[in-house]
Amino acid sequence: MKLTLKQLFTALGLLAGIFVFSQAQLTSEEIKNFKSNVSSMSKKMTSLQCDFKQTKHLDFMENDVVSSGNLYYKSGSKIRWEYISPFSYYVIFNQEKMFVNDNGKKKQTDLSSSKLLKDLNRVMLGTVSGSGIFDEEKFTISYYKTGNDFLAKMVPTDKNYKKYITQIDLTFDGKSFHLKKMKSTEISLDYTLIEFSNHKKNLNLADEIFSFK
Amino acid sequence: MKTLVRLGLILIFLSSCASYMDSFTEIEKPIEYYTPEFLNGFEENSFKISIEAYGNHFGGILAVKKLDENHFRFAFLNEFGGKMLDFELIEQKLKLHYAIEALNRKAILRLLETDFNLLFHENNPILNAFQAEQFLVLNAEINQKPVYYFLENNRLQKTISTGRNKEKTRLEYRYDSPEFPEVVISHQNFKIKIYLHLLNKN
Repeated sequence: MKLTLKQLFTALGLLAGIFVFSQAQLTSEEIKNFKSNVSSMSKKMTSLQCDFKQTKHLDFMENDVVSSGNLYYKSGSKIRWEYISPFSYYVIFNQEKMFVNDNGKKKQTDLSSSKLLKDLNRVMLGTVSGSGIFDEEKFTISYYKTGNDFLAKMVPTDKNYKKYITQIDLTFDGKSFHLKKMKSTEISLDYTLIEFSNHKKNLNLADEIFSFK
Repeated sequence: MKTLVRLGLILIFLSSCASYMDSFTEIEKPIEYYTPEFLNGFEENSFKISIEAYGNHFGGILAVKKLDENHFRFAFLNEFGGKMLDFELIEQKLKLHYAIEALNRKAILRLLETDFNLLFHENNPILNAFQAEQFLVLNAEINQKPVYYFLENNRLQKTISTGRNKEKTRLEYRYDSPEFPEVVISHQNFKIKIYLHLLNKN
């Protein structure tokens, strides 16, 4: 069967239409349920271990910059965000302190010394645990159902965030309600996509994982 | 006594006037233009970048793309992917696209401009050539200052930029990767060192 150019464009238009409609905006009742499910998942979670893949897209580069690693969380605001590839780097948040090990170069900082670091810690905790992730004071958030998953589109209203990002898209698993993807788009439309996988919840994670060494 | 002091002063004056290349033996120029071999065929690459500045350590990723001859674009990202700096070098001039407030400082941009010009420069006209120990030394100009390429077996081992006949900036290369060497950029006048290490292609 031969398709004319017009038929091809009509088919493409229909496909685009299906794609657009596959993101159905949630009703206020559905938003309430969704947020309550994320919050309940967060409260039941005492620890989390998962893998992540980070893709940085720069418009001027042909190839994305890809890195990957592991993420550990334990209640009591303990986080270890560790890059394994293409180089070794990890940051640990524990008891109001931040510890960085950049391929053997170590540095410890009090979070109280910087508002930026406090914000970073809060964002990471929100990302990992789901707690306080929907910051409606600093973002206008719209919620969608996309396939089996949920999508929260967060557009910053806070002037400090607006300097760096135009939008953050958070994709949550429709069953477990943990975060699957986080896409942060910059003003230049370059973006960073972090995909989380292999979630293991409520394991007994050793405190040593969060020790500064 | 007076004569001794005068002689001392004259000696100090003469030694300060000594040229950086006094110990070099001038030879016939083997080539008219020079491009470091790691820039031949360079299209784009990502590097781990580490900066040691006055006891502080900063790290991240440097993405580099060649747009044209002596025209490169750079983006400096933190480990989490956040863009800190985005600029081009066009014929040794920096064109800024984006900088976070903390890095949008003339001194920082000037340093990156001069340092990266020394590393990413192609088809540089050679003014003179010398032999110095095991090295073939090619003398050219970058940032309107003399620059010396030290080659051993046709491979660039160090690049030295001078000012008033003294070494100012030194780039040293270690060839762990066949594609692009590990680079250390150090400065004589201030305690800032930059390390670049090629990241594997995804």
